[in-house]
Amino acid sequence: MQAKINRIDNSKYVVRSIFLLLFLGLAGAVWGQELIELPEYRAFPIIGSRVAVWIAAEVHLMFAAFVLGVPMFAVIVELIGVLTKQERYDKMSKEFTKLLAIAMSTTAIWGGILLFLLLTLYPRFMNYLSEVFLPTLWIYPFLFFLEAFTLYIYYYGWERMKSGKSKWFHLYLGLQLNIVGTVLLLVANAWATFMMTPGGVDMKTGALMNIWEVIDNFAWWPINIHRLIANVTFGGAIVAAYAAFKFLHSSTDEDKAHYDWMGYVGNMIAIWSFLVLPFAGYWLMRELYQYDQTMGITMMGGFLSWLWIIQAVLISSLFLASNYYLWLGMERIDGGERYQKYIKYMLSVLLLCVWVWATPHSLVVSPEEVAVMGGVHHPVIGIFGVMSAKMTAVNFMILTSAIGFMFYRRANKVATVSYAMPLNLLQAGIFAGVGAYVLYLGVDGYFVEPSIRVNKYSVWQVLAVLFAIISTTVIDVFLFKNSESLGKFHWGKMPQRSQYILIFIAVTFTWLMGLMGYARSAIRQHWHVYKVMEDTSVDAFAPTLGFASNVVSVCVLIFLGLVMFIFWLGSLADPKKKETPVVAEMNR
Amino acid sequence: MNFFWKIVLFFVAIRYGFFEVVFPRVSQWAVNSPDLLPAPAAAMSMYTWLMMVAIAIYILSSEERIADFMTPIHQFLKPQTAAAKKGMQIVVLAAIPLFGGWSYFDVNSPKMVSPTAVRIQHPTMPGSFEGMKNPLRDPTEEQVEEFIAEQKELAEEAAEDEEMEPVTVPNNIEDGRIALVSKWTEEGAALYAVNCRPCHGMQADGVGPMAVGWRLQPANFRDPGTIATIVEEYAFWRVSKGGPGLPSASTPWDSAMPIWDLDLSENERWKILLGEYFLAGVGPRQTEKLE
Repeated sequence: MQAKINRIDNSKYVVRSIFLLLFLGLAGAVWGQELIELPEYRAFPIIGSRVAVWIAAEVHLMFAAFVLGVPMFAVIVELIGVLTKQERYDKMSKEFTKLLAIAMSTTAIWGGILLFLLLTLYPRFMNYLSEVFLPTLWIYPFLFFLEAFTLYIYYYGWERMKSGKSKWFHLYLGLQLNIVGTVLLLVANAWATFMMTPGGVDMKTGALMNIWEVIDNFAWWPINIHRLIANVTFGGAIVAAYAAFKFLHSSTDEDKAHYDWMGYVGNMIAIWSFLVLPFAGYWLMRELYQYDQTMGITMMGGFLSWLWIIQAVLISSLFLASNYYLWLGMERIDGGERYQKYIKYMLSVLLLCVWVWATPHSLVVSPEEVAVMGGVHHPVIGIFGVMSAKMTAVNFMILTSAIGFMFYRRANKVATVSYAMPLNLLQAGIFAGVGAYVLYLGVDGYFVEPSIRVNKYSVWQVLAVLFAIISTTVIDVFLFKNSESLGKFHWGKMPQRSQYILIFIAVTFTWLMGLMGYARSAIRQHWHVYKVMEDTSVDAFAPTLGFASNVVSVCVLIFLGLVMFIFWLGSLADPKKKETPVVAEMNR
Repeated sequence: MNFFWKIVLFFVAIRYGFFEVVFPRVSQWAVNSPDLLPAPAAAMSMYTWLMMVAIAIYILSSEERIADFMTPIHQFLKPQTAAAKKGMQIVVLAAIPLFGGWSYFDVNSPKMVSPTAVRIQHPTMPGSFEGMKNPLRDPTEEQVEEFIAEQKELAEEAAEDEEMEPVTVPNNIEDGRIALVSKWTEEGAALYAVNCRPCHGMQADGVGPMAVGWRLQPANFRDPGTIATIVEEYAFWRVSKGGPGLPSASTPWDSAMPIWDLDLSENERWKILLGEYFLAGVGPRQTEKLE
C-alpha cells in the first residue's frame, strides 16, 4: 500500500515535472521568440536615426559620384593624349586617377557606415528591401571588387603600361572601370528609385512579384541618366577645385601653368555636362508626374516648391561664376581683349534671367504687402513665377553662356577664309533666331494647356538651343580653318580670384546635389517605399527646408573636409623632383 | 564721368530709379490698380543682392576695370591738403561707419512689424482624392441615351407648346455626349454663379463683388499657375474640403474657402468644376500618359 502511495506520489511528481518542463519549454520558446524578433526601429543617439542615415547616405553618394564621374573623362583625356601624342594629357589623366584611388576607399568606408546604420536602425525596412532585392545584393559586392581592382591596376600599372600595345590595354582597363562603375550605379539606383516609384511588387502586401520590374521601376532610367551626367559634372567640378587648390599652392610657373590648364579642363567638363543636366532633370520630373500626379504637384507646387527657388539661385550662381571664369580666362589669351566689350551685355542678359528664374510665384510677403497687392501674387512680377518664364530664362542663360564660350574659343584667332563674313552673320542669325523662337514659345506658353507647355514647348525650346550650340560650333570649324593666330594661351597667368571661383563652383555643385537629393527623398513623405511600406518611426514627417538645408550643409562640410584631406594625401605622393617641363607644349 | 561714378549711377538708376519710381507706376498702370504696386521687400532684397553680385563680377572681370574702379577711391583716400577735399574726406569716412552702425541698429532693434509669410502654392492632396475622375466629363452611354430620350420628350412637348423654345435632339451618341456635357457645364456655371462668384468673380478672375472684403484675394483661376496647372481631382479636393481641410503642415493658410461638401452634393461639386474651368477659359491638367 505504502509502495502504491509512493508510486502515486512519484507519478504525481513526474506529471508535475512534465508540466513544469512543458511550461519552461513554452516560456523558453516564447522568450526565445522575443529574442529573435526584430524591432522595427532603433534610435541613434543625439541626432536621431534619420539624420544619421541621411548624413551617411549623402556623404557616401558624394564620394560615389566623384569616383564614378572622374573615370569617364580620365579615360577620354588619356585617349586624347594617345591620339595627339601630347604628354600633358597623360599626366593630367593620371593625376585625376590618383585622386580616384584615394577616394575609392573613402567611398567604401562611407558605404559601410551607411549599411551598418541601416541594418541597425531600420531592421524591418532593410529586411524587406533585402527580401525584394536579394539577387542584386549578391551581385553588388562582386561588382565592387571588380571596380576596385580594375581601378588599382589602372592606376598602379600606369607607368608599366605607358607605351606600345600595353597602353591600349591600359585604355581598355579604363573602359572597363567605367562600364563596371556604371553597372554599380544602375544597381544602387534601382534600390533608391524603387523606394520612390515601386513596381514589381503587390502594392497592398509588398510581396515580390517580378524582380525585373522591381529594378526597372518607373524612375530608374530617368535617375540613371540624371545621375550619370551629374556625376561627370560633379567629378569635373571637384577636379577643377583640386587644380585650383594646387594652383594656389604652386610656386613655379610650370606648376601654375599645369594646374591652370587642369582647372580649365575640369571646369569645362563640369559646365558642358551641366548644361545638359537641366534637360535630364526636366525629363525626370516629367516622369514623376506621369507616375503620380500628387508626387509631381508636391514637388513643384507643394511643400518642396521653395527648394526650386533655392535651386534657381544656386544654379544662377553657377552660371554667373562659370561665365566669370571664362571672361577672366580671356585675359590670359592674346587677342582676348577684343571681346571684353561684350561682357556687359552678356552679364545684363544673365542678370535679367537670374531675376526671372529666382522670382517665386507666391512671394514672401508681409501682411501689409498682401493688403496692397491683394494677395501673395504681384500682378507683374508674379508672371515670372511660372514654368514658361523659368524655362525661357534658363534657355537664355545657356545661349548666353554658349556665346561666351564661342568668344573664348576664338579669342586668339582671326578667320582668314574668304567666306568669313557670311559665316559670322550666319552664326549671329542662328543665335538671334533661336533667341526669338525661345522667347516666342515662352510667351505663348502662358496661353496653352500645361500638357502642351510641358511636353512640346519646353522640348522645342531645348532642341532649339541645342541646335544653336551645335550648329555654331560646327560653323566655327569651317570659319577658323587655317586661321591666323594673334598669340598664345598664357597658361598660369590667371588671377588668384579665378581659382576661388573654381572652388566656389565645386562647393555650390556639392550643396546643390545634397539639396536636390533631399527633394528626391522627401517626396516619399511618410513612406519608406511609396505607398507600399509606411514609415512608422518617430521621424515619419518631412523635415522643414531650413532643417534640411542645415543637414545638407553639414554633409557638404564633411565631404569637403575629407576631400581636402584627400588632396593633401595626394600631395604626399607627389615626386619631389620636378617633372619634364610641359609649359612649352601647352602654350603651342 | 569716370568708371567708378558710372557704376554708382547705374546702381542708383536701377535700384531706386527703376524699382522705386518706374516699376510701381508701371505695375499700377498695367493692372489698373488704385494703389502703387512696388515689388515686395523680400523680392527687392533678392534683386538688389543679385545686381550687386553682377556689378562686382563686371568690375572684377578685368584688371583694367578693377584699376579704373579703384583709382578714384585711392585718390580720395590719399592725404588731402585742400580744406574742402579734406573736409569731404572726413565726412565720408565718418559717414560710412555711422551708416553701418545705423543699419545694424535698424535691422536689430525691436519693431512692431507683421511677420512675413512663405506660402505654399499647392499643398499635398490627401490620398483619398488621388485618382478621382470627374464623372461628368465622360458620361456613360446609358446616361447619354437617357439624355437623348429626355430631349426627345422635350422636343415633342415643345412642338405642341408654342410658348416653349424649340429643343434640339442629338442625332447620335457622340453628339448626345457633347450636348450632355455642355448642359452639365451650363448647370455648373449656374451653381458657380450662386456659390463661387461672390468671391472668385463671374470671369473666374478672383475679383468677385465680395473679394475686396478678404485680406487675401481669392484665387484667380485665369492665372496659369492656379487651376490650369493642377489635375481636376485636386480642384475637387479644394472645393470639397475648403480652407479647414488644408493640411496642418505649412500653416497658416489664410484661406476663407468654405467646406462645400457640407452644402453641395458630389455631383454638384463636379458640375461646378466643369463650369469653373469653362468660365476661366482653361482646362484641368491632364494626367500624363503612363508609358
